[in-house]
Amino acid sequence: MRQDVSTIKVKEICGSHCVGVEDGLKLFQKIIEIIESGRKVCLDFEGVITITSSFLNYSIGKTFGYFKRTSIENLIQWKGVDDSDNQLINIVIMNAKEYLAKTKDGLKNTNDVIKRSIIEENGEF
Amino acid sequence: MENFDLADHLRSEVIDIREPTCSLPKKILIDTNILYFCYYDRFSQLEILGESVRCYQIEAYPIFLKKLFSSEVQLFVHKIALLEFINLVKKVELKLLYYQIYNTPEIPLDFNFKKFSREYYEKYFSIQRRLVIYLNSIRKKFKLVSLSGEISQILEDIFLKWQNSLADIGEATMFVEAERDGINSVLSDDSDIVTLSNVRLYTANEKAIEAFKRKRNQC
Repeated sequence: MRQDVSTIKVKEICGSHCVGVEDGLKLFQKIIEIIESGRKVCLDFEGVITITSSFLNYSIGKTFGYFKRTSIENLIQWKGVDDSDNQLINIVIMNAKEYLAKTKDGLKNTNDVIKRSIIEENGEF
Repeated sequence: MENFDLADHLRSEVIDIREPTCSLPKKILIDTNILYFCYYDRFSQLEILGESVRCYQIEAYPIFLKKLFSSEVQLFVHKIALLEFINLVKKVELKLLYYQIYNTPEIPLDFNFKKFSREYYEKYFSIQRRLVIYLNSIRKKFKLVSLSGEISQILEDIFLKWQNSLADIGEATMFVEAERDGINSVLSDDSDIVTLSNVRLYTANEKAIEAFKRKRNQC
């Protein structure tokens, strides 16, 4: 069965600069509303000047965490990004899928490795 | 151990970026820690997947960065900050790879990054590719601090800046060269920067903000 696709104009939700938690969570809410209503979502980044990986984590990455299944990938499409932002989106999805495959202990250990490494290199954070 | 109060060593101005009325500079230097809070996806990923608590850095700095982008403030990075960012991400990724391969989060104290990179060179190349993606994202928004001047003068300025401060020499170097580009504001989470002279620190770091308030009350 072919699913309907709803387009979200990211600029209308988050503005031209999509940078962190706040913007990411606004977009996340819109994404899950659409997916929960049984439709696919297309993120249209036209007019967006800045995209950071922390923004992508809180929007696309969090969607994977929320639904806890990798097949969610098939329900999210995007357009209007250049090659480097496209690669960044793919990294965030790859990481989300990698993390979803881990056990609870595996996630805790990954967390510890990241935190300890950053503290060792850069002091407390 | 000597009693230490950051306020006694404070030589810079500190601006709390969470204050809605804080004035914005025309040019600002972005420190390494801000790069990984905003541009290294691993940093915020675990909180998103429900395995970690969100820290203030993830909240405060992107909001301020957005303000800077929207106000068309010119953003600069120094190549030292870029190298520190690359080095940090490379090391975190190599340690994650070690954990993946050996299934233990206990990384040996004598872990040899070079040897490990050689042994798993294909995985190392894939880490390099990931880094290039991060750097491409950074370079779209930031200008590089230009390096110019006579080496002896630069070194003298660096030593002067570094002397009696608690910042490391890399930070002192960044600020000396940034000053030559007319930049004396910096966005950073590192409280030691307050011990450098002629710097305006934009931060959400409580230690730095409190030290500045204490010092101001003393005056």
